Amino acid sequence: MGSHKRIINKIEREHIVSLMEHGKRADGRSLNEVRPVKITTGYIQKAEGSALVELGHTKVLAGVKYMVGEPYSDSPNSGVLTVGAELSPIASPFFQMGPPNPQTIELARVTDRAIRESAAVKFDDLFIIPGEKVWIIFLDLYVLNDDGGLFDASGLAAMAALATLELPTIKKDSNGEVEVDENGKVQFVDGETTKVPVNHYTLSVTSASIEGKIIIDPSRDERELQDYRVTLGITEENQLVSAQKGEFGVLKSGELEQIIDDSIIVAAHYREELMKALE
Amino acid sequence: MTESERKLINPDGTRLDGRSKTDIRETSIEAGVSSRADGSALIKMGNNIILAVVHGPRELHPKHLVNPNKAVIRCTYRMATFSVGDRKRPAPSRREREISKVMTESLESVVLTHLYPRSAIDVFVQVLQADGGTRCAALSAASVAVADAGIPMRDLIAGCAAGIIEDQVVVDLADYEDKEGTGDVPLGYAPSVDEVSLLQMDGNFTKEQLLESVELAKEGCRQVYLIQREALKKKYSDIREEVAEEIVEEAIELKENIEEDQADITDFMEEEEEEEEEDFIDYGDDDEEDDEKVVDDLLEPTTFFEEE
Repeated sequence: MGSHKRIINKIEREHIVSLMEHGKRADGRSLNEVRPVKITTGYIQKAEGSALVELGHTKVLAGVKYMVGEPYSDSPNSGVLTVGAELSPIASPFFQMGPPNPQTIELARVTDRAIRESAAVKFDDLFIIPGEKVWIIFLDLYVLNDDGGLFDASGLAAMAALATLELPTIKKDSNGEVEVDENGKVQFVDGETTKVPVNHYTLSVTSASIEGKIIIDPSRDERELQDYRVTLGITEENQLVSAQKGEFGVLKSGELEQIIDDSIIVAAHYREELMKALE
Repeated sequence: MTESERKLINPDGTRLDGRSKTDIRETSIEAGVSSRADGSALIKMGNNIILAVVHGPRELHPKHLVNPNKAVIRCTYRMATFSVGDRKRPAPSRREREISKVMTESLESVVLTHLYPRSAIDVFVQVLQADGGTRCAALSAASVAVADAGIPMRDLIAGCAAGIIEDQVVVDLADYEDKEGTGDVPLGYAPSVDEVSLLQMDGNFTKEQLLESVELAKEGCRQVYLIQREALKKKYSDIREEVAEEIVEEAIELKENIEEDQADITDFMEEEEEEEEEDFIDYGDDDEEDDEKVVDDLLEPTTFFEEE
């Protein structure tokens, strides 16, 4: 089977590296500049929350569905979030059909971690009957066009989809008890939905190192060249809630600090775009 | 009245969404939407949103599938988990595999596969939102994507269904009409060559009803076909407009440059003239005699040689 990675030729590599030595990038950006962001919320009406995010040519579609299910025994009052991702051939000639590969799982888990660790959505509040019935939230990410920046675009799409999430309103009787039918099925108020409050707007920002130079939001070509990448989950209070270093390169001292400083600025920029889309 | 008992056709003969029995839903197709694919198309048909991309013709893996005489078309139809009411499980279902197969066969009928022996033409279709008739809409998008990839075809395949609701044959069933009606005939049809390449049916039909459904579905396909052709033309007319704009911009820039150059030249010449005048006056005032001496020396080179 074909390789997941495009082989990048020597001339392209030299071109990209020599530009970076002059503080420039092949697509005209500066080293700490991100590509244009476009966010369309409510793209899928059939999903309870959804968003299409474009980061340059990259497109990621996130959609949320729900189920009423049983809680985990160690957190009986907490809702459950499951993040899935799909990197199918829709997105790139280098992706293949089949069960999720490590790359796909990493994308889903890194996106999941930023949301979970910051409690971006209060999952503690997502119970229906304590210890018995909770909301199970499925957040699925579909990469529709891969031009690099999948972590950042997925983080934005996930956050935008959760911020637009509306769950059916639970029917309660006069005593405030949740109404269930004879099969124990939770009853909803017809045609009514309730917004799920957002606690934090946590976003992922990815940096990459190529031959000792740090860049933000690596493009597809830059991704093929990167020695390592670091994705940070950052809240609006500039708390760092998740980190993931990837690829085979290693961090030298001082590099992480530069990455954090740059990422915090970029997170604020992404958040501004997200807020505009949510207005 | 429960949903299953409600009337699907209004007293005036229109359907619940106001369509007549021969109207397809509002449909739009955009070609060339994905930068990473060789060809692509996004179709919106009613509330269906479906993205189709084509990679190829390209090398075929695994090698044992290679056909030495023609390209192998492989179409994959997938639904997003959030495309339907209850979340769909992410793994491919039997239904998705079956639709992939019949779509592959349908596309195969119009693509000139003999032009690309030993290669693969991979078509991927992702249903982002489903609203009934997804395989037909998917087929319409897929054939536009193949054309967008520049792969020669005898015709485009247009997809449209017809079916029976309340004993009447109607075209392009919406999701609720499909579920509450009594039959559905999805059709893949190449209008210019008049060939049916996808035909499925479920429900309860008399012979007359089935034949009528097929004819009505063909009529729906012809409506889709016009939209498909427009989508392909639009991509190139958009490119043409862009190029035209660029050419105009370049021409304007060039004209400005020429004008600037001309202005520079005029300025330069004026300056030169002024300088010359100044020089002349300078010479006149101070060095006239010296100049004349130099000129005299130059005019009489013999003196120079004599000295030697």
